[in-house]
Parts: sequence; structure tokens; C-alpha cells
Amino acid sequence: MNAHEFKTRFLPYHQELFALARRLLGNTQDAEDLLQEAYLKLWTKRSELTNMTQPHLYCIRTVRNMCLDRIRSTRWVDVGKSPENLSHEMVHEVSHHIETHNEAEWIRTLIKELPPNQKQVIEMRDLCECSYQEIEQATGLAPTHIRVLLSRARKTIREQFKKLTRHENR
Amino acid sequence: MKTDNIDLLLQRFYDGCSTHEEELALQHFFESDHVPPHLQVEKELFAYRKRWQTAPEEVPHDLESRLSSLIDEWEQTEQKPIPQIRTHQYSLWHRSIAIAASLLILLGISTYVWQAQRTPVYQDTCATPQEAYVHTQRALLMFSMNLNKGMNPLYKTQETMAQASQIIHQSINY
Repeated sequence: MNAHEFKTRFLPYHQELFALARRLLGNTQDAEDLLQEAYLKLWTKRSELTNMTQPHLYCIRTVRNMCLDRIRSTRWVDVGKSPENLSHEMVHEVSHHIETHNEAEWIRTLIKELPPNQKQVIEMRDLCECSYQEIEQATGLAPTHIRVLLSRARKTIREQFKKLTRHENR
Repeated sequence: MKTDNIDLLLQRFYDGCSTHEEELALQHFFESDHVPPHLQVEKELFAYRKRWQTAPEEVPHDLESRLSSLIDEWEQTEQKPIPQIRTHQYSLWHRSIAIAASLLILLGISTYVWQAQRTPVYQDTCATPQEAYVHTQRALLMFSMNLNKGMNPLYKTQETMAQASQIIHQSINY
């Protein structure tokens, strides 16, 4: 398989693969780095991939596993940042998103404010549809701990949402 | 779906232990028009959640072209003549020189050791046996003369000792 054939076969998935990496890793730079790594991996293995029936699924699985490995190699420190009170900038940011009907953005802004562990778990579960087992393996956290983090994150978002909608109605 | 059931699913959702199927069931329920008033907040929240989940990620506009040129680079790197062959030739040449040099050193050392260990061979210095006999006689004579020269003071000392012991014996006997 030469470069041209390789590109025709695998490059069309790059947007979807980037979105997956971006969601799992949480930032654009890491996602880009990982995507380059993933394409290099595919390139070096291309002779084995010529007769593959589902290259799309294979690419997704590769990127997903690489992301989970990368999360595993990062140690998460539970910084005790309290999401109880909204910072002024965040209220402003979220209000702006509500005014401009950019709903997807404001949930993202709320999640950005969560402690790193909670943010990681809720993004893996609700955004990337990882199983509890995958989250457990990637983060190295105990199942009960994951449940507590997820529960806190979801409840916090509900509380903030209630607060903010009241804030809007006033 | 019954509201009781929904309350239970919501409970599980906020406890962080709902399955994917349960989360999907909640999503479907809140998308329907039969949501009771007390769950309106949840309905809104689930709508936002869905938009968040399905929001497209902003892909950097030049990502595709960058990946594309990277792939070209990888192909070019592979197609370059591998310089390894030349270094291999060099290393073979270097290696043979090294082997030759070490053989030379080894040869030098072993020759030196062999030379040093070789027992000396006696060589004739005299032309005839008579001449050798004269030389030997002379050498033995010189030896005996020197020996006598060394013995003379010894005799004198012996005499002195004998006299001394005689005096001692006499003084003891008295």
C-alpha cells in the first residue's frame, strides 16, 4: 500500500478520530499528537491492514485504546476545588452561552469547573460512552470511587443548572 | 413508561450506577411529550446533555493536510536507500583491520615470551681441549688462592680463641 492508497483508505476518518481523541483526552493539542501517533501506527501496520473488512471500526478501536492507555499513564490528583460556588467569570460565560442558545457549550463550561477526577469520569462515561470497567482500567480508581465521582459530578451539574436557570429567570 | 420507574432510573443515574440501556431509556423518556411537570427540569437537563454529547468537535482546519504531508514523509523515509549497507561495508573493512592488528600484537607478544623462556645454549670459547684445560686450571688456581686468602684470618682468630679459652680454664681450675 503506497501513501496515496493509504490516505484514500484511512484519512477520511480523521475528523471522527480527532473528535474521539479530543473528547477522551480533553484538549486539542493532546488529541492532535495522539492522532499523529495513531496514523503512524496504522502506517507501519498497513501491510496487515490491506484485506481488512472494517477499517473504520479498526481505526476507532485503535484510537480509543491509545487514548485509554494515555489516560492510564497520567496520574490524576483530586484537587479539592469546590464547585459549590460559581466563579463570576463562569456565571458570565454560562449566561452568555444561554443567551446565544449555545447549550452544548455551557454544559461543557460547567464540566470544566469540576474537580479533575470528576471531570475525567463524567466525560468518559457521558461523552465517550466508556463502560465502568474501561474507566476503572484507565483511571486505576476503585469501582465505588468511580460511582461516587460520577454521582457527584451529575448532581453538581443538576444543582448548577437549577441555580443558573433561576439566575436567568430573575 | 411509569413515573415510578423513571424515578428509580433517575435515582440510579444520579447515584452513578445506571447502565447504558437505562441511560438511553431515560433519554427517550425525556424526549417524549409525556413528562410530568415535576420532572420538567430533568427534561431540560437531558436535552442539554444530549446536545453536549452530539455537539461536533472543532477539528483544526489544517489537520488533514498536516497528516497528509506526514504520511508522505513516512513514505519518503522508507524509500530512501538505506545507508546501513554502506556502514556495514565500512564496519566489515574496519573489522578486518582490527583482526589483523590484534593478530600482529598477539604474534609480537608470543615471540617475546618464547624468546625470553628459551634456555641458553652453551657455546665453545676455546679452540682445543688443551687450551680449555689450561683455562680451567687457571680458574681453579685463582679460586683456591682466594679461598686461602680468606682462610688465613680465620686460623689467626682460632689461635686467639684457643689462648683465651686456656686462660679461662686455668682461672676456673684455681
